[in-house]
Amino acid sequence: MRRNVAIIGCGQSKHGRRTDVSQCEMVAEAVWAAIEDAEISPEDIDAFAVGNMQGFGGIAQPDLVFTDFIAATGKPVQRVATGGTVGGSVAHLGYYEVASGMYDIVLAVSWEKHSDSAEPGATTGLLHVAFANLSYMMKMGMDMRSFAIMGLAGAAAGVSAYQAAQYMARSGCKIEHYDMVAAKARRNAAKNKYAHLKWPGCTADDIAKTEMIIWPMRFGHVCPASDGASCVIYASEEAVKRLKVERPVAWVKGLAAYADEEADQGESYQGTGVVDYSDQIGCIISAMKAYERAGIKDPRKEIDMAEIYAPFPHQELMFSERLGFFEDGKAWIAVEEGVTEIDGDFPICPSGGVNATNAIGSSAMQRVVECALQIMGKAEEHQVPKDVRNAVAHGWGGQLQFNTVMVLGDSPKRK
Amino acid sequence: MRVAIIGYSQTKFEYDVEMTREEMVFKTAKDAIESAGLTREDIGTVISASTDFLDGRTISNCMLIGATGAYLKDETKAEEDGMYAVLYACQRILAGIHDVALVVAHTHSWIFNPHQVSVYMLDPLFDRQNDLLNDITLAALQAKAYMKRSNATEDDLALVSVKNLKNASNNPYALRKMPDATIEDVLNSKIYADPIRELMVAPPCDGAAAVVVASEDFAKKYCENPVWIEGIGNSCDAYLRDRDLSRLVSLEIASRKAYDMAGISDPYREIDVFEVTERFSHQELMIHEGLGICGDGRGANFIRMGITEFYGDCPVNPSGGALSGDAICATGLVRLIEVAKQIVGEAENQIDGVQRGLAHAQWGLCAQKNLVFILGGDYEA
Amino acid sequence: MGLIKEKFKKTMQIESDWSVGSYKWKAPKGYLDEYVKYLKKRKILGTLCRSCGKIYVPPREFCPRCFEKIDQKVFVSDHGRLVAYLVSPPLRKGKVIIAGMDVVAAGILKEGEQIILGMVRFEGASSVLTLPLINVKPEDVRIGMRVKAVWAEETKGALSDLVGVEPAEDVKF
Repeated sequence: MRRNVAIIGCGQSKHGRRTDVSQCEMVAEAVWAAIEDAEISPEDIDAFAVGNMQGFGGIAQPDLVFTDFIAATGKPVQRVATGGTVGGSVAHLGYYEVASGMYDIVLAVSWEKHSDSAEPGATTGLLHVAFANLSYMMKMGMDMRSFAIMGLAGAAAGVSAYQAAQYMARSGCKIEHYDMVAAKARRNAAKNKYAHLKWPGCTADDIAKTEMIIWPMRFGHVCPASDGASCVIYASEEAVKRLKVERPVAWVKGLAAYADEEADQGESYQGTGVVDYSDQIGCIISAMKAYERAGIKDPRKEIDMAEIYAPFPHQELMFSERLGFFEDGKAWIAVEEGVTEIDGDFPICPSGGVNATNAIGSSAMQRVVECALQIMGKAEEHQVPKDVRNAVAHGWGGQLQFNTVMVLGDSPKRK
Repeated sequence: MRVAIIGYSQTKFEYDVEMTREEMVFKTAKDAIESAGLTREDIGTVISASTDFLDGRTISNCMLIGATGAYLKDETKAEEDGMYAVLYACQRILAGIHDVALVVAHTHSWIFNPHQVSVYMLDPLFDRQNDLLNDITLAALQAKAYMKRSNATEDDLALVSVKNLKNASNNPYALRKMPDATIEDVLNSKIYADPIRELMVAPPCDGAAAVVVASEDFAKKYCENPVWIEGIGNSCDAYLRDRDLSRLVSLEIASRKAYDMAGISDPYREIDVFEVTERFSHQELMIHEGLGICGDGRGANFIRMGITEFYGDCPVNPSGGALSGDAICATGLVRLIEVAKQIVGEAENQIDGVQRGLAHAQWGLCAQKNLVFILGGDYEA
Repeated sequence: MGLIKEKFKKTMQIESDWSVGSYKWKAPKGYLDEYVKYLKKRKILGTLCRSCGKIYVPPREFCPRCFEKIDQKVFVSDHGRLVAYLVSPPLRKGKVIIAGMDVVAAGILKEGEQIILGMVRFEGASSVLTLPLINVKPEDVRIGMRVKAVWAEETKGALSDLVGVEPAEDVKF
């Protein structure tokens, strides 16, 4: 009989370009907001789960620097770092800390401070995923022209651009569908007080007018590099009772994070066996396992909405299929029919998603926060009108290979 | 429900090893799975431990999925000592979601000197502006503060090095061994920052280690000699300037938690062997106090009276400890493995009749975080 | 902002730059070094995993699916298929900055040229390579079209020997 774990409070910092705070202060913003939202005091927290993508902020172990900013002094702290999925990894870690029976109340926080990097956007950290490889390739006679060509997609879009091309080839969708999804992200973000790129009334045409970076990726498709922190507080079922929590909470019903082989190139520029970057086998398996653990048999029917980690619009389409909500290659039809709008039959990213706000370390955790808010009815202006009984929070990253899937619901799993 | 260690593997600690990190991690992971008598199919979840800054690769695990055996497994990476990854693995098993976990930790110090990386652990607004601060100079401050508060002298610091470097002579995995070490050798070694000298600093090197942990049911079914995890304690102190550097308060908290969980009231008597992570000699003495096995301020007494020798009453680091080789993320995990070896009877400096052992890992400047595991063999309670 | 009551009206920005050393990495012998050796001979090398039959290009040391070290070297065809492609707009100065350098102003890429980047699977390979697709107009490119390797005039045993790919036969519509 597994221990049931609930999210009793969430907090976010305002996301955007936060030169008004240091990394420590920004994380504290989210942490203290969550503590208030959970209606507990810092002493109640038994343990912490933390993580970010440390290269961007230039601190090797940031949580050690701001231990007391987040009320963790003396407490057990565990850190994970998995790249873009780190927010999801931290969310999973926090769940396991409670589910293991070792702790009753755990605070999980993840964050990113891109503006602390000298280079714009996410260049610094992402370039270094392959910097060792690039150095070796230069040594092995890669010329400057090839190096420059490789960089055409930009360090932020990079290998995702290849994925956008492959998804289009395999699904038969058009670039207009990418424009539609990006427009929806910015429209939804306008209703979310924590989001970065807000554009009320944004249309696909608005996005289509933006400059083409490299077909099929437009400037209007690219996510911003935001600063931000997201935080959730987990509590065991007994703790929920002990704290006499009367308000709605969100229950974690199942989770999984199955890793695929890296795409594009392995250590020292070795070939990998990933031919189609839009296959995302890791996502398919993670979803399968998460649903199994959550007792979900028909995701399209039983899940009410999803927060999908899609820094680029093609990924919302792609992952909505791999997570089992639409058939392979058919997601663009749902977008045309408005199914994934806030008031649609299956809302996806009512918060605006990662395409509108991307503090890399925080983004996957923010998906968990947003699902929890929807279940608890606290999403304010971007609350979906339909009843949210079950939601899926998804994270993605690595070298196109990592996926974290969490199924949340309005009641604990019984059986 | 309990969790047991059912297999393990460690590499010889070297510097500038003739292997890529991928090759070393693959070998370790494969050896550990084999030592548990399993195949990769039996593993449900893989947790690796490494850091981006030390490997010089952002997302240091993304190109190691194949080598760590994590292909299409529930996978994640702890960004601290491998023993924390074992803690996470235990949590995944105790949650009832997995039966068997593989934990793989590595660091190749040759890639980028960990002492240089330590500068990146400093707060960027104030401390990093001070060119004098790094893990060694900060350890020197800690050593001075500790020596002032306690009865420890420089000779005591040297004695710790002598003991551990001698112990390491029998350890085929150790990097630095000195069977004839003397106090003079240590006190004459190159000075880094008074009182820290070369032979008082754990030497950064290249290494990897892996363990397989399993749920009680699985371990009882498939393992002849499971090593049970009886207690765990984890605690993190405040940052450098906000804490008393002369004591390891987080170790006091962590060890008490571990003792509680294991039902231990007198660690000095009830624990047969200690493997601790002493990045600097003075820290081993501070660890004595943090673990509560000696009185406050009396950490040096043990080393003077030979109590912590491997033939003594309370053996500490019979393997040689971190002073014999420090592969950063793998070091604490190796301490865990050394205790497991003592319990199973396979250690090089084997101590007689070990039933229970304590393994300790630290992380952060001046041991800001401390983690304690209590292991026990299969015996009549 | 919850329990933090003070609002900061002024913040100070500190700029600093830390470089405390250089990184060094190791690469395996007998893999990419063999690959470039055979590029000189206009051959494309991969490693075969005998358990699952996958051929990784450039050569891979470990098969993640089978959890085995693999070192059997095989050649794959220099003909293959285009799996997907990207098309740059005509290149302009100030638009392509890589590692702080304007590559068009520096003359590394030509102003006005359009680059087509193809993801190519050479026959026999279980990997895709990303290579420039040349000698074809963007509007004539089709997914799945047959392409063949284009080699440098003079091959030197370097990655630059494999210049890109071009259509394997005349495209007629």
